[in-house]
Amino acid sequence: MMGVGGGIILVPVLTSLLSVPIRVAIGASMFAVVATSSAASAVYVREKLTNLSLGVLFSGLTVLGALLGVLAGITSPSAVIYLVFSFVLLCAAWLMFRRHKGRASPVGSGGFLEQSLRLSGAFEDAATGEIVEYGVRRIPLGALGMVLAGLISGMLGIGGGIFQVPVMDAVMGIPIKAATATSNFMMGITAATGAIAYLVMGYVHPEIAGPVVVGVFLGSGLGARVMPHVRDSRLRCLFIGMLVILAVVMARKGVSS
Amino acid sequence: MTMERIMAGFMRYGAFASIGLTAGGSLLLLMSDPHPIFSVSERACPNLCMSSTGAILTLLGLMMLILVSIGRLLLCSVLFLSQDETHMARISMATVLLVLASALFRLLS
Repeated sequence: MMGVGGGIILVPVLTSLLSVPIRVAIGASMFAVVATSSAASAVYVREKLTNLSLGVLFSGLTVLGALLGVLAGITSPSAVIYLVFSFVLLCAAWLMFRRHKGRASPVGSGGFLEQSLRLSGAFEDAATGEIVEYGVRRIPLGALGMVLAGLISGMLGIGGGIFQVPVMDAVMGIPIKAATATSNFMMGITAATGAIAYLVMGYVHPEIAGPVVVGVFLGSGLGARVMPHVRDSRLRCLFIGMLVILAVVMARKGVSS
Repeated sequence: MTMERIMAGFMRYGAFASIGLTAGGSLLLLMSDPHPIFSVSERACPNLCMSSTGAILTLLGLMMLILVSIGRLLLCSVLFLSQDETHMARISMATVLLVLASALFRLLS
């Protein structure tokens, strides 16, 4: 409903309300992100909103970041993970409050890299019926942003879309619809990396991960149906408030543990 | 049928099949009360069967979700190869290897 994978809410709720150990919660969250990403990506790919070249190129970088993130997540003390999570929740709240909308960059603005890797894209905007063509600028800066998003995703078990979309939109000049669709495509692959790692390390408990994945999958479907009938500004205020409260809860857990 | 439609169908129905399997397994897990397993009672065996079957089904569903994620990258490589974009196909395959490399974390535990 809010365009985020669900992990950003799921992990704090599992650890705070249900007293699930944080690494077990992260493992369950990774699978939930994979499930929601697969279903949503199917729609975006069919409607040709996803920039597959960019998605594949940046998936490699987010996966690399996720591998580093998983390593950081399993070697850091739980208190550090709680505190980093709290910081990330506050950043997400700030990004959602600010909601910068960048301008679409023209084709060819990315120079040699854009042309050689054929990263520019086009899609039909269903709202206006127009064909939107766009280029991809500041590719190296965007690539760095993707590695960082992957790192956070691998460490905390969140999808990373909350950071990927603003980077693609504001920094690289990709229209918000294409950015959201491409981020969704990448999210599942990034989360799958963490999911495999947490699975082989024994942090995925079927009795927790199973119901969580099914619940998040059904919830995201319901959210997509409810969203058009709810006022955007009210929903956004509610979500920002919830993120701030969860940030405080996670910080308290981090300090006390 | 375009390659995008095949990929969309694979992701959509793959996700539904995985969720179905996970939901079935989770239901079995929830129905079986794991606590009496360790007590000597008549219910011990059926509960153990139900919970272990549930756990296996849930894990199979979760692993299928991972396969769907990796599968989309493999389909992307096929798409890029069909468009003569061999460098992008290589990047896609390299990403698959990177994803699979996460299984090496087992060595750390």
